[in-house]
Amino acid sequence: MDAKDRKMLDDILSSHRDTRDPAMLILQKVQTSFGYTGQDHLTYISEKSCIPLSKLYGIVTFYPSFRLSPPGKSIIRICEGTSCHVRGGARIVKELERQLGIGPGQTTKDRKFSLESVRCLGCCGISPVVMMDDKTYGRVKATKLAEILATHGGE
Amino acid sequence: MKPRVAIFDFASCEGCELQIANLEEQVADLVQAVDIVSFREVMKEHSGACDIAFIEGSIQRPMDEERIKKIRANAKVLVALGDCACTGCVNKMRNELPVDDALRAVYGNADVRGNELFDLSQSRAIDEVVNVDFYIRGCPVRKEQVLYYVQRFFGMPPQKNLDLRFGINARGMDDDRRSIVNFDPNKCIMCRRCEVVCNEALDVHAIAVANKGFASIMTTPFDIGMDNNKCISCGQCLVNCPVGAYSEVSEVDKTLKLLEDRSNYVVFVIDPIALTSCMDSLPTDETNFGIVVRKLISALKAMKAKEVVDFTQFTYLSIAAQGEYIQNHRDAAFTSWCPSASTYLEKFYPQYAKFMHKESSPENIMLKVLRKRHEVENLKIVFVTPCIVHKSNGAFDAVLTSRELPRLLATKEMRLDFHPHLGVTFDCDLGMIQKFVSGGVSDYTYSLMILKAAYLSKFKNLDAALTIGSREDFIHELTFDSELGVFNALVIEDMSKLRKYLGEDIAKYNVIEFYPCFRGCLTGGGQCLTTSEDEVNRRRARLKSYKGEMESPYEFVSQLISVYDKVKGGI
Ligand code: SF4
Ligand code: SF4
Ligand code: SF4
Ligand code: FES
Repeated sequence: MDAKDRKMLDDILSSHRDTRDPAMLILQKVQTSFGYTGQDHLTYISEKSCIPLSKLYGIVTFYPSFRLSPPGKSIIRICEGTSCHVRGGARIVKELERQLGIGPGQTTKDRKFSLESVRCLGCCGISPVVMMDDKTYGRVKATKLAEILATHGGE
Repeated sequence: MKPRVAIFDFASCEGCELQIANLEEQVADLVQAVDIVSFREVMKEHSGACDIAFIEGSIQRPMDEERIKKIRANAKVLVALGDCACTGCVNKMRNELPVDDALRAVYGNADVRGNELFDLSQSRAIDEVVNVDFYIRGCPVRKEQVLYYVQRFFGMPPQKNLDLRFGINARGMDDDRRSIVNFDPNKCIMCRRCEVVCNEALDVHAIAVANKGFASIMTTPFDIGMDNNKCISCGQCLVNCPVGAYSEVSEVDKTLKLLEDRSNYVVFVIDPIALTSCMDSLPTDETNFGIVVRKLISALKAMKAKEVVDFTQFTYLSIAAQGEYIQNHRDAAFTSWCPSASTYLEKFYPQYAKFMHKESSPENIMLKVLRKRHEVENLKIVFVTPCIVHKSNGAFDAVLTSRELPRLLATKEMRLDFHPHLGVTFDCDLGMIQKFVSGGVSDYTYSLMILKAAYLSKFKNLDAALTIGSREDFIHELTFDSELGVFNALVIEDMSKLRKYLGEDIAKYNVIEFYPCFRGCLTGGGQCLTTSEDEVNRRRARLKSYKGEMESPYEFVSQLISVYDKVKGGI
């Protein structure tokens, strides 16, 4: 973290100096400003605000709107809703995990892809569904995943 | 006769019982192995006594309380089945509301007053009402787990929950063995007692729940491990966990190795407080604490320990050494004997770390005296202590907690009953054991301060020299008017209030003490599990029976001074 980052965090903290139970609001601002809530950020906030680090960590791991690491270039959203599940979504998840070497909520080492699991993308008719950034792929087969990844910059 | 199994429900959704009913064809196996004598979901008849009672749900009403007590009395083994039974779970959320509001929210204006079916008290987990032997977590429980437990009970009956691991790695998570407090997430029933102790009672915040649903886990932030975190290694999570998910790094094997090597001169130093909690698990039928201690000395000698030394005398010497230190440093001094308290200061108030005097701690004095008196090569010191935190002190060759000592004896199938006690005493008597029978003084931190005051005021009348006040519950303020001047002391027995007092101007105190363990070392982080006040009192009584009443502080102090002056050169 550099001086600029610290300044941003200080500003966020001072805007909540008088808020009761400010943890959630502070974390949301950090998430929007930095795109993620990382260990450095949380440690800094905890030291400055006396909110225990364990509490901040509990919050960011509970709510899906927080990320622990910067997002990859492309975000893969894989649907684990009922319909997709029934039609083989779990197999797609496993295969994606295998190919990328990461689980939901994680980002590949080369920072190209982040994997996220979501509940129902609202197009159950074409389940199982995978979204790459804002492009939707329906009736996805495990064998087709490599191809899809390649069109989004994967090897 | 086949073992008799009964399944009972209290306030719950019955989902856990349904899991048992759902065992389907496996139910047939189960029924072959056991007699199910009561199971409302699948059968009508019920009968009383049973070998295992599975209890689902939490306790809400006086009539529930009565019923569970009856069940407990009739059951050999009682298992809390599922989260409602284990922890109270969602049922407990009602406790936030006044009962009338809760009833109105659910039953509207229907008049249910005076109807015993609606006579709600606070919602409680089963172990808040009766003793629970085992816990099976889950909302609902997993049926494989239930089956596994039943098979375990009749195959290889476990002695306690602590011996029982899930046969299946139920949550796919690995043990955390990075720190002196180990953690096995597969045993955890998510009752969050450890979190409450660490965060609310101690205000340390080393651990908390992270993630959610099946992935939820008790952990350190970013999984950095306890030692890298704010954890002060007090072990309170360990003694408060009902299922033994936490454990200490075991040093039993290390100790055995030390004993096997005949060129070693192994000295066991025993803090008698450590024995108060493990007495029940020591291999003996003897019930007199003093005799057990003496038999233990003989048994350890039979295991080739060269000497067995009483730790208490070093605590006494520490009083003298601290007395000197306090006289010479009129700044605030932190004089807790507790290593966790020192770690706390280092981690949370590094600016105060300079006010600690570790040199005068009982362990340091012990190490110095023993090294001085035993100019042998290969002196190996094994410390038997109520406290896990000593394991972080590299100066000992091995540290055994109350939980490990019985395991050490078990490896050699030692029975204490075969070992003599008559005429057996501790070695390395510095001249105090005969006078002040050992037993330790750190039952309450408070009694310790009185001795420190007695030391400082030397031969003055103690009553006149010592004024005891209290700022609030568990926060004591003592003034001792000594021949060397007036000293003010602050004793904090409730860590959750510590920050408030350390935030104040601490310069007005000469001495500050605090301890993380609520009853002092009697319920320390290396002691055997207890959550009951009765058990604490039993431990206290054992110590008392052994120690006897301290004759008089004056006599104690004059004796102490003469011993201290003698050994001081060596300290
Ligand atoms: S050992 Fe003490 S400080 Fe560390 S996690 Fe357990 S309760 Fe908290
Ligand atoms: S580790 Fe033990 S005390 Fe902590 S939540 Fe799990 S079962 Fe409860
Ligand atoms: S109070 Fe006693 S048992 Fe508790 S951490 Fe301190 S030394 Fe250990
Ligand atoms: S369940 Fe996947 S789109 Fe609806």
